[in-house]
Amino acid sequence: MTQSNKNDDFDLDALFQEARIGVPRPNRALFDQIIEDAQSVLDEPLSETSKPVSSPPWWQQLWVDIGGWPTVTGLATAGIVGVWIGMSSDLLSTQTIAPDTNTVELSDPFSGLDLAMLEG
Amino acid sequence: MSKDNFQSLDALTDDALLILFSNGSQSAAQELTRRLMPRVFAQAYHKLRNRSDAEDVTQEAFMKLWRSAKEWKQDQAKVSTWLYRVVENACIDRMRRNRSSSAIEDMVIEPADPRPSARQALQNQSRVNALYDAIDALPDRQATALRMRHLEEKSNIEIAQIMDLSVDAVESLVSRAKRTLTAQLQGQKTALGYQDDSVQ
Repeated sequence: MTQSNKNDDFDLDALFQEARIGVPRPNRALFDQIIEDAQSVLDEPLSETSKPVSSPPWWQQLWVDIGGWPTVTGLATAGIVGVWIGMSSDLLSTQTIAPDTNTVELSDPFSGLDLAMLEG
Repeated sequence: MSKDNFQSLDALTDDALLILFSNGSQSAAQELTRRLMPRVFAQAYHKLRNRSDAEDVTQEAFMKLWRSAKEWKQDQAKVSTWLYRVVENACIDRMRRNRSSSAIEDMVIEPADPRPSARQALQNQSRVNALYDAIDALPDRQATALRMRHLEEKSNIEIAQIMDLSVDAVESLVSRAKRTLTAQLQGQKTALGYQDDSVQ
């Protein structure tokens, strides 16, 4: 080691150099191992993509094709509304509200039809 | 790999090589390893002072690099900067794991070799060990900056990028670290054999 502490200063630079020189050189086996690791990482995606992907069962596919829950909920609501309209229109067709008396009486809207047919 | 291939890859940046690697080029991995492995190993060795541990950390760090290649973004940190941080953290982890076992190793007393060259080599080694001990005793940031500047011979600009500091701050850290080291080692001059050197 260079002795350069003439002014009673510790020669750090010489000591740093000594430490740098003391580092061993990494050997070839380490290089080879690192390259082997790199190759194994490169191989990983291939092995993952080569796995067969199973298709979903037919009923799941159908469920997705028809639109899933939103479609089924919409269809159910439309069905209920349809039934309700059907029942309500039947009732409306046989009810007449009398504004003066506030009474409700049942009447047949086609009551005169049979007479009309007789006149013909 | 052919020599021509090496020469063409030589001109590419580390980032470009890593992207090439993620696209399946083993040659890019070889060039990156050839370029970065000595620095990574030296960094680990200066920190761990043990060849075997330094090799393990180097291998671990490169494995992390290969694994991160697919998601590597060119606008993120430089490969060398990223790798430096990975190695630093891996060394800290390993030092924690090794703490108990190294304490036992320290108790083993090497038999003295009477040959002058061997004695000189031992004395040199003890000086370097004293330097490493003194660096380890510094505050973390000072120790890191000093190691990069004087043991790994990085530029202040590079250190500033790695440590996310200004160049002035790096200079200040290194300067304070050197003052502390000088004061510490000054007191050990005789014990480290400097008087012996002047006599020889």
